[in-house]
Amino acid sequence: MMTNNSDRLAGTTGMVLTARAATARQSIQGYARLRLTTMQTPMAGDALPSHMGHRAGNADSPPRSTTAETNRYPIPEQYRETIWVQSSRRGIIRLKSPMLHVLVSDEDRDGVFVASDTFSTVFGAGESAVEAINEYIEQLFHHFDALDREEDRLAPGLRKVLIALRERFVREA
Amino acid sequence: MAPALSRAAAEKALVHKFDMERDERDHRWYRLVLDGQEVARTFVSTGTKYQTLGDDLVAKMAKQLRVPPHFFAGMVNCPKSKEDYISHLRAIGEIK
Repeated sequence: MMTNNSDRLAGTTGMVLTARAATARQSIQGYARLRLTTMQTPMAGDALPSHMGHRAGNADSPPRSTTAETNRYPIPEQYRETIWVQSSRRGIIRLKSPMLHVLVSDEDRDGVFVASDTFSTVFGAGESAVEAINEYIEQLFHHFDALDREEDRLAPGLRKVLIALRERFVREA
Repeated sequence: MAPALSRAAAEKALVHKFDMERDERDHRWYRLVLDGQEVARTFVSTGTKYQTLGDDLVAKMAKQLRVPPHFFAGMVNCPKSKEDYISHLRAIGEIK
């Protein structure tokens, strides 16, 4: 049964990995991880490890959540994560909605994860997905703050970036 | 696929070749100011274990600088000059 947004999001991709293993392994400051979802819908017959929850379950074989075992298997090249930013206010900058959809990848398989999004050019990197997401969030706040402060001095390109970020952020007096 | 680049070489090129300034609040951000207008910003992630910027980091930085990854590689590895970069930004409407 799909009960929340992350489940609905997961339902569109076909495969779900819970993030409990990662949260247990590493304390995450500033947000709570909800779900990891692959960007690609597995094809019929894809050989997924049996413990990876496959949403296409049935009464005999319901979708299963994962535990720490998830970390033994390779992470997909790119996946989407829905995160809840707990510290959505930093100083006088506030994220309008604490929920962010983040793209995480290690496409070149060099062991450096990169977190980014679909609405800005901000990214964060780290030796784990968690590190990358933490850096991404930190830089997202910084980028908005920096552009917003310099609004009068921005060239047209960066002004467009600021307008896009204002859909997500607000500076409060 | 974007080529991997030395992080030190990229930072050196941003500062010395393209005259980008470090952001006073966070020195990992570099900004290009032309005629009093800020025209570009990019972030260099500085994890201790990655001295080389892999394909995906190069692609992300290139996106911030509004250039294709290979253009960014050219900016770091010589062929592309500051004038080439500014011409590119004008051509795509980032600056007037």
